[in-house]
Amino acid sequence: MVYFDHAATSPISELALEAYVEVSRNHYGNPESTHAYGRDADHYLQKARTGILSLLGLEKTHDLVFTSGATEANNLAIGSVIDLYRKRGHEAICSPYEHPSVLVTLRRKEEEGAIKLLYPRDEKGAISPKDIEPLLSKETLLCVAMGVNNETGALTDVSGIAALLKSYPKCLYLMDFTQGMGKMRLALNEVPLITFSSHKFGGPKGVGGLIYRKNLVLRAVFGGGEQEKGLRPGTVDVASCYASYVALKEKYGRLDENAAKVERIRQYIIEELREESTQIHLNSPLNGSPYILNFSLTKKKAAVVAEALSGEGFYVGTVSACSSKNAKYSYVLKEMGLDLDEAANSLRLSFDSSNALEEAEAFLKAFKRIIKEVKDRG
Amino acid sequence: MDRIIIVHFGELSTKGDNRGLFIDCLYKNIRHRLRSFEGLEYEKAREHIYIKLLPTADVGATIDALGEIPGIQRLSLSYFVNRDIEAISVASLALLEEHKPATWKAKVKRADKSFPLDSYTTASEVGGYCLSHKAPPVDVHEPEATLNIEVRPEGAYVSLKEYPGLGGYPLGMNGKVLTLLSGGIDSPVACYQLMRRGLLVEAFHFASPPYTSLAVLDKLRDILKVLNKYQSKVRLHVVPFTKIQEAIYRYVPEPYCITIMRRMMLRLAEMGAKKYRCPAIATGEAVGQVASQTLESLRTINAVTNYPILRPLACSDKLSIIKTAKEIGTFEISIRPYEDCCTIFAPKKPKTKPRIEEAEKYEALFDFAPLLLEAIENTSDEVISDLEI
Repeated sequence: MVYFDHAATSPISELALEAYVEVSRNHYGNPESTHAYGRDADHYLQKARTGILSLLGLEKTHDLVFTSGATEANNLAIGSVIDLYRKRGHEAICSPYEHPSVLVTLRRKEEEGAIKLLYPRDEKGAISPKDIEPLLSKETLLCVAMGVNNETGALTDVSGIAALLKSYPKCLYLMDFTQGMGKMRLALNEVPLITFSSHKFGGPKGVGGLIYRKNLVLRAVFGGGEQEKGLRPGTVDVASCYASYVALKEKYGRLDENAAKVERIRQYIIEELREESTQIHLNSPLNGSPYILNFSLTKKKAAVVAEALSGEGFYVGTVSACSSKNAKYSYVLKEMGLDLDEAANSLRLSFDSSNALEEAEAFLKAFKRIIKEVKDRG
Repeated sequence: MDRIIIVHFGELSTKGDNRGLFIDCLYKNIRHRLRSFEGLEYEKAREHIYIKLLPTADVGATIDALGEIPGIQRLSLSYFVNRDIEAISVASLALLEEHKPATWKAKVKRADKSFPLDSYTTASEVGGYCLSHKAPPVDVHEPEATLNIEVRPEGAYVSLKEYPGLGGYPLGMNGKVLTLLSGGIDSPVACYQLMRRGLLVEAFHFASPPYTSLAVLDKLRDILKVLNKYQSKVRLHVVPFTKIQEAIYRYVPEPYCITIMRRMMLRLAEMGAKKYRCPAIATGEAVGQVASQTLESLRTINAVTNYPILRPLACSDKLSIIKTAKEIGTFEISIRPYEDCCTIFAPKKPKTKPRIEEAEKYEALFDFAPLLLEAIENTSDEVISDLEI
């Protein structure tokens, strides 16, 4: 089997799994308990927290609240900013390429009348400081732009946006870093709100977090106890938090080596796909994340090609559920200016350092044959 | 005073010489369906099947399970007592106190004519006894409940409450039918109707990967698991249909593609019916529902086989099919979303009145026979059963 769907989820790393088992088995106390065994668990929790912050170079400036993943973290960040900082202004700027956990949450706030949403437009798949600049005003409360787009791998100029926002101190920047954590180095000190999911970098599923600048006041989504400074009530899953740290540490230890390896795989596939230029439209920018490669099929139905690939043990991502009744398309690709047909027929290959060049070769061989055999979508 | 469930046969009782076979088959099905139930004792007679409920029996669950067995007209929950008037009266009063009908009457049947009291006297004796013990009033014309007393040589059965059965015939009694199963709403309901009529279903599915997702197979298995409560073992055959479908769309003019596709499916179904020894084929078609289900289409499609084709839903309305699907529990599975890529093959203007001669002309454009043979050879065979659960 060849698994090219790591942007959806990655397997847990061996080291992270060992750490998870070790903490679950031998340090299972509740970190809120005051006895020694509780304090022992709390030690692992704090080690995970400071560990992750230091790997990102944020241990002095930022704090971290663990959540169930990036979706919850985005909800926590957006809810907190809009509910607690609304006096600062009533406009939010949001890239149209964001994940649904950002878009849906912000649109709900807009429907409630809490804010007015402004969308910078740019057909490259990521917004830039100059797209945002004309929209900024004294009323701007929040600006949201993800680090790496989950569908195309397009990179946002995070430092540029952070630098621009220095002139608007009332505006907070939320950067969804789900597809970038453990995969790229980025200066994050000037970004006040950062979110992530651990399972995208070899950690366990069901855990992630919101990294926030230390002076920020936040408010919990759920009512409950005082865990995680009251920001995330409910008994903390220390084993998952600690395994997240172990996984991230492993990724940062080999970051350049991993990136070079997947870049070779991605480049190789891009080169080979050039031969199929009548069949394929590349959606990923060439200078995007090396971990993601997205292209549309100009003639074939993506779901059919994905099903055929799946039948031969090649697993790739597709947005489309190809039923005539509820034809789905990628809003990200549509925003990039693709027509609905192309936006509904994209494939996303996403890699991990565990993938090998030989897997890409085998994939291409099968893929080229399948698009010859399969009937056009008509 | 033993508690007994009397199983009434209904339509089955009218059968002549086959009667014994029918009862044996139903008896076997009941024993199989209730095999894991505790505290039951069975007795098979010409008129009824009796199930004695020992103290460990779960009465409610037993009646529910019997309600799902084809071939049972109704069930009565009874007391079995000695054939003397006092015992019959005591049992009658106990039932009246248990169910508290507003009004009632006693109806006596004497299969054993040696019983000293005649039917009328028996009824009035029981009535007198019960009324003197504060039973509800009697209404001989429009009673809310009828107390049935059946006096037989071995004892008397007294019952007040009856439960409807599924009707139809004992499963397996009427043979085996190769049934086309798509996974949509209609075909599982067709399966259910066939099973109710005593027919064993052998499911036949056409798969066109990658145009249809393999996830459909899980859906079919789930549907058949639901239908296992009527037929505890169903064979599912999956026919690889992609090559045939591709060939049809390569060689046949678009308006005739659906007609020819259905004709190919029916040819394969006939081959399957021979291979799996089914004397008939069944489909979930309903007249007029889609282009391939007009009378003209049905005739042109049907022309490829002289096997009988059962269409249990032929004259059912979609809404009533949906209602049944919900009742038997297949609806929620049928509407599960999955990759249905048949849209690739859906012609823009399908022929609603296709002609046999035209269909034959287009089929002659390509030699489909080897592909049909290959497909039937590669057809899979698996058993969906509730036995291992």
